[in-house]
Amino acid sequence: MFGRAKVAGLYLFLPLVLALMLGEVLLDNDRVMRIVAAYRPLAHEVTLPTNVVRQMQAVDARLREPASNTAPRVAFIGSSSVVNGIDVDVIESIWRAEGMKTEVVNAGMTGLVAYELPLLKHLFGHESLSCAVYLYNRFSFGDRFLGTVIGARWNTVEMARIGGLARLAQPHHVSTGFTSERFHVVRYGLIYRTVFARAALGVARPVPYPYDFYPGSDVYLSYTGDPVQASDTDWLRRAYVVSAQAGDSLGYRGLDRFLDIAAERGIGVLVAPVPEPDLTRDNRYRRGLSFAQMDTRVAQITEGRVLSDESLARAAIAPLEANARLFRDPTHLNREGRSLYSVRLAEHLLRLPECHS
Amino acid sequence: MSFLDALFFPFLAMVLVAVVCVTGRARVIALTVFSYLFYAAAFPPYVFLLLGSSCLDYVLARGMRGKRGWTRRSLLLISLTSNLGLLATFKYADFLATQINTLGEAAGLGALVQAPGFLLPVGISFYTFQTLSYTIDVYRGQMRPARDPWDFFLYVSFFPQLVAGPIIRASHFLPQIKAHRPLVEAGTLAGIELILIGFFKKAVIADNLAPFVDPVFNAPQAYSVGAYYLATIFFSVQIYCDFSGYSDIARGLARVLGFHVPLNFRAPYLSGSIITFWRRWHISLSLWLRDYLYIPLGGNRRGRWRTLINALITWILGGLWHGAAWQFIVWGLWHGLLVGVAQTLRGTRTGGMYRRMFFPAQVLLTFVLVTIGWVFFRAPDLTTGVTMLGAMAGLPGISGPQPADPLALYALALLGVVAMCHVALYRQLDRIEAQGLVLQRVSVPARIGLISLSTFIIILFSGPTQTFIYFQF
Repeated sequence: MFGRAKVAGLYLFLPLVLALMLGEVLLDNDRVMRIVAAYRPLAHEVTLPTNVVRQMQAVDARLREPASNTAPRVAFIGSSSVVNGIDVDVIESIWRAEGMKTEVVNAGMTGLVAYELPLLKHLFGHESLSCAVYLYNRFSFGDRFLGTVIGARWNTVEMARIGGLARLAQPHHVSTGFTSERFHVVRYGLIYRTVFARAALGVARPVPYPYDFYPGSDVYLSYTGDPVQASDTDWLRRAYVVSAQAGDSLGYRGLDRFLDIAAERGIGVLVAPVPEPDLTRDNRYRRGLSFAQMDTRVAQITEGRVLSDESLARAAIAPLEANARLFRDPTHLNREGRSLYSVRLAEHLLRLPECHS
Repeated sequence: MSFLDALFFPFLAMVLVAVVCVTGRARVIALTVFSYLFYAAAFPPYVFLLLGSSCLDYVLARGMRGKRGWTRRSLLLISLTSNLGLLATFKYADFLATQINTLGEAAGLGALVQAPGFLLPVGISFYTFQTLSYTIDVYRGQMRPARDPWDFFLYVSFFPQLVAGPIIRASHFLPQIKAHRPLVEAGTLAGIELILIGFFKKAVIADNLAPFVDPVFNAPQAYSVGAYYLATIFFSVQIYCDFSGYSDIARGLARVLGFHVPLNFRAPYLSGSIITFWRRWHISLSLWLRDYLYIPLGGNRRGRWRTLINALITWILGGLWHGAAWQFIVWGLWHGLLVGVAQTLRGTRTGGMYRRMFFPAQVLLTFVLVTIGWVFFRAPDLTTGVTMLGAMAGLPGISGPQPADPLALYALALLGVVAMCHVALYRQLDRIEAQGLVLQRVSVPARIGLISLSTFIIILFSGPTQTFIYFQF
């Protein structure tokens, strides 16, 4: 019996533990993270699962970097609407002109929904982070679980805390999430592999622009609407329906828990809707839904717990949403829209001293 | 549960703890219970199918003892009917209903039957063939029925090979049960080498090729003919690494647990003819089809035309075994034709000329013929497969402007690695399972270091996780 246990321990379990430790030692350090983030491929060059990991790694690497001159930092969090809707340079240049050294981090990630906010708490532990701005979409408070992202965006305890484990996860989802949460090489393996392979082929190059959006001229695409409403079992339709109609959902609980975490860490939070084009209000996912209740529910959850957000409220961004020419596709702001929205955000946040100290 | 699920590792740890702690019959029971748990992870209710199928065949085979004539034949008939009925109900009923309804609609009668819409039980094609071969072997008097039901239940459900083979014979496995010695150092090290090779093939090669293959086959109208060629060649490599990787892991795990599971792939892409290819590809299925279908049909002993017909029947059914869809039938038909023609050309002048050809040219020709078949196998439907092949042959088709992914260079590099490993390991395949290649020759610290480093490389270079292709069968 002892002999068999020795064989199993020595040749099966010990090497597995050593391999994972090797990953922590070799890869989980700021320098490697910075290099990989700097040479990461562009969003359109990789598949969705790799893109999810790629975005997460880049945000992680950015937040690990020490802020210059101990400047405070503001992180904008949300879905691809944030990835493509926030121009860090525009915001920082406005603040610089006002004498503020505050740095901006675009922490938007494709498909990020509210229940994932507490799952990312490890990202928001840096002491320089003064404010987190959560910009939500109309689908952000759904209950649906996106299997593609669990290998990158996961926290088992927080998922259990908001009631997600029992409701959403299959056993293998939990184990996948748990291993990625615990082991750096598992979480970021896909982007390391991609960057190493590109380096080996001689095609790795520094990212030409630091964000996901293309900084050049965007083409306005007219949207003519979808003839058929999506089925209620469709992931995105379901997320819109639950966000619009449910009083309680995993998404709302995620926001609530995120505010608790931020309060514990002394991070100021601002919660506001992100502009989405009015012309898609009747698209196959949003058709027939009113989102007034969603904004009310968010206001209830955030009341007394967040920084002022009047100039970013739904009514205030309505002119942006009504102008179809500010969007490059049915979802995302184009260069002009991004610039206008970023100016608005910068000016609003200027009035919040909590974010700059 | 898949070997790639993170959940598999705690599961394996529990299995190994059980194997260390108990001996004798208790260990057989423990392995059986864990195998059922492994199966239940996919869809718990289907455990009862596995259990029912095992119980029935155990009882029927026991019933054949000392019986002759009609009684014995009836028991076999019950086994055949129930096993094939199970397969027909869960795997082919929807396909059949769709065909009937298509005919009904064409005749203006509308939909005639309702498709049951059963979820396909994972591994049903594999374990059904195992139980079938068991009762047939007992019927033929080639083996005695298992005495201990736990032995038989373990044979049917043995988790390393339960969901995607290799298809093992009771005559090979049952005698090992009483004598198996798990976690013996030499066997474990050999098993670990197989497991590492299997994970490398699956996670590093196959899963990294999938992103170049899937988009092209899923939306061929967007891609150029060049992209078709690349995706098709890549799929040939992907399916080999995916399936043989699974088999290697299965054989390695079995070896760690003290069992020998036969080799399922013997460098098939180095075959010089289609007949050799099928002796080296999915060997356990090829042998099954040969022993229980092709030879009972008469094999190649009843003239050329009958040989061709027998090959066609065998391979069409082999194609259907893979999936209930027309593209699998056509894939089977293609291989049936190739095997049948090759069989009939044996001993002829044309056959002699082929044998005198430069061997690498034979290998290349065989690879091309097999790869043409993979287009049907991978295409989402028959029309897409035919159209893609037509476009590759220069016919006007559905191809679009998008070229192959530039990162396909990376995939090509991987392909080179596969080809080199393929050639390098070709003569070592039996040795790996028997005594391993490297680990037994080095010191204990070096062993631990090598296993750790290989594991680290596999984790780091794994592609986006894909389900094993053969899980769908």
